[in-house]
Amino acid sequence: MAEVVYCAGLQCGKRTDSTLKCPICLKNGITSVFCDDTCYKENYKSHKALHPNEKNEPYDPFPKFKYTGGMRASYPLTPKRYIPEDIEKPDWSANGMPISEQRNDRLNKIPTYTKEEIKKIRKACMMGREIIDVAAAAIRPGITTDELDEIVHRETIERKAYPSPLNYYNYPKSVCISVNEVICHGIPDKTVLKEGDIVNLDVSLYYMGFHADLNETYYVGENISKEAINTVETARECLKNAIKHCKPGTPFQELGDIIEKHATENKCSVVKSYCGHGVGRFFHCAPSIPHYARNRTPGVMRPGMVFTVEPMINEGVWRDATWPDDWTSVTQDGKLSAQFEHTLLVTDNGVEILTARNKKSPGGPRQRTK
Amino acid sequence: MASTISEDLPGVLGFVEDCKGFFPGSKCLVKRSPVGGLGVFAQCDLNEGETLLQLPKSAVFSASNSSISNLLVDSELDGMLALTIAFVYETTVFQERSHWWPYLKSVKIEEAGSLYLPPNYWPDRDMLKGFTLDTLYQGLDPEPDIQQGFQIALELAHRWNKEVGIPIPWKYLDNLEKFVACAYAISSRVFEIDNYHESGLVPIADLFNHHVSTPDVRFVSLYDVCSECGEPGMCRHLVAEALEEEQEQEQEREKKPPSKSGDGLIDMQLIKELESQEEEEVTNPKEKGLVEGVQPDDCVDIVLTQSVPKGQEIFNSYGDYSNALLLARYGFCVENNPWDVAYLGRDLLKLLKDKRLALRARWWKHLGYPLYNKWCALNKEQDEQEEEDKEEEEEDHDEEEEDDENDEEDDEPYWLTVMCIDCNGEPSSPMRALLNLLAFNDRDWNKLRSIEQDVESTGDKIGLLDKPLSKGARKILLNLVHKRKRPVPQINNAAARIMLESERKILEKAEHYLNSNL
Repeated sequence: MAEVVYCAGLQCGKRTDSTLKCPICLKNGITSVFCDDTCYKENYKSHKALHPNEKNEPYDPFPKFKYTGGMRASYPLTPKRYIPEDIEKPDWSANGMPISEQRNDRLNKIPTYTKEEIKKIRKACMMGREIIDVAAAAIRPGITTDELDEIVHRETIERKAYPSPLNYYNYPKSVCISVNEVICHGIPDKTVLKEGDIVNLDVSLYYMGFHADLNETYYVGENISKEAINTVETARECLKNAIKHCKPGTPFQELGDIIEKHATENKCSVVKSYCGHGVGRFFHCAPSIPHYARNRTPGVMRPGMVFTVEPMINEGVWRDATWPDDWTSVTQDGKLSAQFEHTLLVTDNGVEILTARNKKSPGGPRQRTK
Repeated sequence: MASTISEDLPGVLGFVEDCKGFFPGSKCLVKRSPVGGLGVFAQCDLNEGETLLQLPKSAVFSASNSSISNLLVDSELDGMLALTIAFVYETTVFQERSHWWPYLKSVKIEEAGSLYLPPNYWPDRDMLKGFTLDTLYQGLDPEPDIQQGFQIALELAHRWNKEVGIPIPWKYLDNLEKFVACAYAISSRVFEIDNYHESGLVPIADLFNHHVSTPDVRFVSLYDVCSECGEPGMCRHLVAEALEEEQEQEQEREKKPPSKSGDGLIDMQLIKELESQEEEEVTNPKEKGLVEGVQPDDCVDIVLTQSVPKGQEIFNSYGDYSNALLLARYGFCVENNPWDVAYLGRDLLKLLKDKRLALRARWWKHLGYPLYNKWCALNKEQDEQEEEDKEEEEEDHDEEEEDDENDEEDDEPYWLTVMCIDCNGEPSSPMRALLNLLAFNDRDWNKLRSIEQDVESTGDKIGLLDKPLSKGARKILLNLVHKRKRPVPQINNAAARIMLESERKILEKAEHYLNSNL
């Protein structure tokens, strides 16, 4: 039986009988099939990230861009990873558009879940924890972020789950990996982790119709600057403090006050452009939970709601900038940024951390140094 | 009414600053106004078209923006009731914990321990019986809507207490009057925002006082937005909808075997072309507004419609309302209000019980009045638009009338509600027509009765009524005015005294006008 072929265009992804291949990819041992010339044209911008440079070594695809810090995009990217046919896929897996999420998310309609649904979400969250722990255990100086992506992808499909970020609005990889001044949505590439870096793994997966979402920032090696430790630990504590506050009847607007207060006390700032969000049947939905103080986000917690809190805490200014890849968000001053995220369930009396760490989870807090 | 007091002003200004709102101190100053409470004044000479205030819609207090927005949606509540309940929770349960508090605490429902209430809740409301507020607007009757709203609010408060653990806002729900006061405070300040937010409270915009004839500003807000997310233009809901349609069409096509499929390799020439195109790509710069990071379409504005010299108070218009309506909705009245009226419908009804007149009244109600309106619409070109609007309104009312033919005592039929004397002491044009009709001799009356429905073919006989008041008509009216005149009671509320005084003056003017014409 002939192998099923899908168009390599991230905005297409349709099953195709075409055998039209990208010659550049082919020369480098990659088979990228496109429906036709039009498909190739329309997807060229994202596709060319797979192409090597003339010297055939990692390169910066945006040499003219004014990077804010030391991090650089390091291309080529590896091709979109394979998802076995038997894994249930969200609607964006082929062409990148999360249509049901877009259609059904209503700003002030915050879903609550039944016991049966929560069982499935809990299962997805536990798998998320397992996956992030496996990937985190592999973090060491010398590993590339793409290698970590491969681990996350492998661990996810091994559990018969789909890595939610993959092709979500055409995001090219299975996990977001954000190093040093990268706030979030860093794309796994040829970047090599080095001693003293901080690296965030943001893992999301889709299993039996439900999404789980968690992230954590890890230290690379042992020789970590006191600024890095302060930023990471402050972010960790911010999330912890915010979670303590979650229970039925709490307005979502209060979480930002708690987070910003702790950040300010530790001379850090809070990113404003990205928010916590509802998660479950959809990857991202209402509520929207800003992490900064004095926000007026609507909504109040009630039992059965599932959402994330994921403060992004900066060593310097709160302002962010975005790389020309349209994903990677970095601090405007190039200083460090750290983030932690859990998927939370509001219970009758409080909150349950569905993506909680366990005793064996790698990472964890370090003592601040003077 | 429930006007912002000076002590709360810094909080409101701070709130606006926090929301990155545009309200430049170089242009406007908020201070005590001679018309009462605070007002907004020109700090320099201001020109027509200038924007005095721009606020992101996220800074508008609406049910959708409130802390309990999701509970309201879950309970399928919207409109003014949702806004009122949202206000109750924000200002009692959440208070300082809510970031709306610095603004919302300026919305007072009481002063020195006594609630601001609409006239139908005043202890001395009976003094207003028989005046226009009572007879034309039923402004003294209980409103079933608000009582029902109060019951719903109470039920939900108990349910949310049980299900979500939110305390019951007894402060405003322990009796109907407090809830009414909340609704009244909101109705006096509310702005129509858009089809997502519906009604909302707009900081600063609610400080501009009302001017009955020459307002200086208007409130601007893009109404037509996505009703699910409030976004103007292509929001994600519309994008998804379009995509879904596209996909459906595609599926239709795909039922056939895959048609075009290439083979071989992509032409290197094509790749070269694509490479050179990349460079040219430009992103559309977004439209820049006065609020950092927010598109002007996502904002509400107060814009000058005429120039205002330095030092002068800047006025808005809440609408062309009579004093009775101003009192019922906003809690204040205006002396020499050009839109004020004295209603004579009830007195007229008594008169029409006379057997001879009753026949003419019936004819007027069913045939004469609709025909007269159509005739006016055709013959009074200059007021064309106005008349058209009126006609539409009347068509609606005509339908209603059919239904409640028999309970005229409860609901004023529309033809009757226009039986008013205006601020100059002159009767409205339909009233003038009816009075002329009533005063007709039998010959003229029979001529009129022969008119058929079709105005255009029967000529303008109905126009016979559109004449200055006949001698007989004047007599009838004078009689009505005499009967209607009564001493002005010393009611406690100062605005109500202005209203009653204004009504008395209108009747006096009418008397004078009729006497001088007799």
